[in-house]
Amino acid sequence: MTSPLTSPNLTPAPRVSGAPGRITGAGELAIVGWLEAGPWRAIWRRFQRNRGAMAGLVVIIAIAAVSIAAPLVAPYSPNAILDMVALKSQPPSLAHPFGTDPASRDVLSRVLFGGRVSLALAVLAMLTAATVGTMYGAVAGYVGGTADDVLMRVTDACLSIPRILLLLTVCALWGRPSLSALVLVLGLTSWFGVSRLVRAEIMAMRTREWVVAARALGATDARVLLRHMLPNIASPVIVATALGIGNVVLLEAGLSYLGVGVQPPLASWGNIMQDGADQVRGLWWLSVFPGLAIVTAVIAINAVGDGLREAADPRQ
Amino acid sequence: MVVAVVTTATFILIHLAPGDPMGGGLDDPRISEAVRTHWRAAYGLDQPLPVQFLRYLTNAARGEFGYSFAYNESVRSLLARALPRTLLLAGTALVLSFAAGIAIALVQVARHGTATDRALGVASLAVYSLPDFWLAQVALLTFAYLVPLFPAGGMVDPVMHPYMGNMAALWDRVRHLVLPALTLATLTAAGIARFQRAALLDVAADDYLRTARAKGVPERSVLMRHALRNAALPVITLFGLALPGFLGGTVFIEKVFSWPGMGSLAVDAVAARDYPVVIACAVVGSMMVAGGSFIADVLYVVADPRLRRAGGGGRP
Repeated sequence: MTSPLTSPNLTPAPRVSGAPGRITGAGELAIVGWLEAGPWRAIWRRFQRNRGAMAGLVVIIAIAAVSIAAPLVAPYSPNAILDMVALKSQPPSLAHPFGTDPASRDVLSRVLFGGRVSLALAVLAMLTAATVGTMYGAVAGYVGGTADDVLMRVTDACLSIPRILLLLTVCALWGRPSLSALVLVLGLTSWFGVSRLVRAEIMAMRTREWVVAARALGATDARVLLRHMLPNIASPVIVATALGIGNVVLLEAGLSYLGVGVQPPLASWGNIMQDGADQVRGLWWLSVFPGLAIVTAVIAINAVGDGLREAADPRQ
Repeated sequence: MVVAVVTTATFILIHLAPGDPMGGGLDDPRISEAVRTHWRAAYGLDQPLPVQFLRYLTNAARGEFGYSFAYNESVRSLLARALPRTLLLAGTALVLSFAAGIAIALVQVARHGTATDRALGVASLAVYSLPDFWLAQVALLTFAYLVPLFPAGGMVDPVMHPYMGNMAALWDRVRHLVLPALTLATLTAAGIARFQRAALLDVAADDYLRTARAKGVPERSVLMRHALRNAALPVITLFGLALPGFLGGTVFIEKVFSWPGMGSLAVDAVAARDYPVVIACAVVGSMMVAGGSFIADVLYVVADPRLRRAGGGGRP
C-alpha cells in the first residue's frame, strides 16, 4: 500500500510477521535485531526520526488539545447570538479574530467547538470502519474459496460506488441525520479499503509455519485468527485507519458544506463554511478560517499516517 | 455487477427511508385521500414490493428514472442535458491531472532524495489534504474576484453568449472551463503524483534498471523508457480506483463554480428532496465508474503483454 488512494492488495508488502518469540522464517533472520527491540518500540524510533511526521503529530496533539479545551479557550459560546444588529457578518477584528457570521455568532469560537465535532466524528467513524473492515477481511481471507470470492466481489462493488453520491442519497432520504447516524453512515462506507488490506494480509499469512503449527496443536479457527493472526496485522490496519481519519474529516466537511452533514446550530468545520457558501466573496472569513483548520488537521493526520507507514515497513 | 448492486441498494434505501416515497407533494393536507390513492396508483406505489422492484429494474435498464418532482420534467431529459457538461469538465480535468501527476512523479524520482523531491512531496501531500470545495472557493476568490482573470462560474456568459460569433462563443466556453478544470486537475494530480512516485520507486530498485544503467543508457531514458513503462500498470489501476473519488470531487467543483452538470443536479436535487433525480444521479455515477474500470481492464491487457498471452483479462 503506497497511498490512501491505492488499492491495498495491489502491492501487498511482504511484511515481517511474528512478534518476538514466534517462529520466524530463515529469510527474516536479518531483521531479528529489529524484532528483539520490540516492533512497536522500533516503529516509534523510526517514526521519531521522520521530522515531517513528528511535526504532524505535534500539530495533531495541539489541535486535539485545543478542541477538547474549547469551553475554556473559546471567547464566546459557539451558538450565542451576540448582537444581530451591530455584530452581524463582521469581518475579522481584534474582538472577533475570525469575524462573525450572519447570525452574529463568533466564528473563532465556532471553529474551536466545531473541531470537537469534526474530529470526534471522524475518529469514531474510522474506528467503526476499522472494526467492521478487519472482521470482514479476516473472515474472507481466512475462509477463502467461494465465500471469499463473494465477499470480495461485494467490496469491489461498494468501492466503485462514488461514495459522495451514496452518502448524498442516504442523507437526503433520511432527512436530517443525527450525529450518531452520521458516524454510522460514514463508518459503514469507509471500511472497504481496510477489509481488502486485511484480507490480503491474512491470505498471505495462512500458510506460514507458525499458523500451521498453531492449527496442528489443536487451536480452533477463532483462536488462530484472533490470537495469532490479527495481532500481526495491527500495524497496517493502524496506518490505514490513521490515513482514513483524514479522509473522513474531508468527507464530513463536504457533506456538512452541502447541508446534509452535521446539522445547525451545532458547529462543525464544514457547516460553518456552509453559512457563508452563498456569499463567498462578501463573507470570505467564513470559508477561509474553518477551511484552514480542516487543511491543517488533515495535513497533520496524513503526515502522521505516512510516517507510521514508513516506520512500520522496515524494508524501505 | 456493480450497477446491479447499486440499483438494488438504492431501491432498498428508498423503501427503508422514513416517510412516503412520494415526498412532500402528497403531505399537503388540502389534497384529498382520493387524489392520493390515484397518484399512488399512477406511480405504481400500490403494487406489492416485488412487482415494484421488477418495474423499477426494467425502467432503470431502459434509462427511465421517472419524473423529477422539482423540475416537472423527465429525469431522462435532465440527465441528457447535464451529463455531457460533466463529461466535458471531468474529461479535461482527467487528462490534465494524469499528465501533471505523472510529470511531477518523474521529476521526484529523477531527483530522488533531494530538496526538489521533498518539496514536491510536501506540496502534493498538502494539496491531497485539501477539501475539494475549499480549494475551489479559494480559487474562485483569488482568480475571479481578487484578480478577475476568469468568470466566476457557469458555463457561458449568461447575457452575451447567444450573440457571440462562433470563435467568440468557443473562447467564452474555454474561459469558463479553465478555473473549474484546473482546480479539479490540481486536486487529482496530487493523489496521482503520490501514487506514481511510489510505483516508480518500487521498480527503481529492479535489476533490469541496473542493467540498463550499467550498459550506459542515459538516466533520462532509463526513467522514461524502462521505468515508466513498467510503472504504467499501477497508473491504469489508479485510473479505475480514482474515478469514484474523482467523481465526488466533480460534485463539489460543479457546485462551487455553478457548473450545470450532474454534480450540481445531484446537490440541488438533495436540497429539494427530489428523490428520482438523486437516485438517477447515483446510478448514473456508478455506471460511469463501472465504465471506467472496464476501460481500465481493457487497458491492462493492452499494456501488459503477459495478460495477452495468457488470454485472460482482469487484474493481476
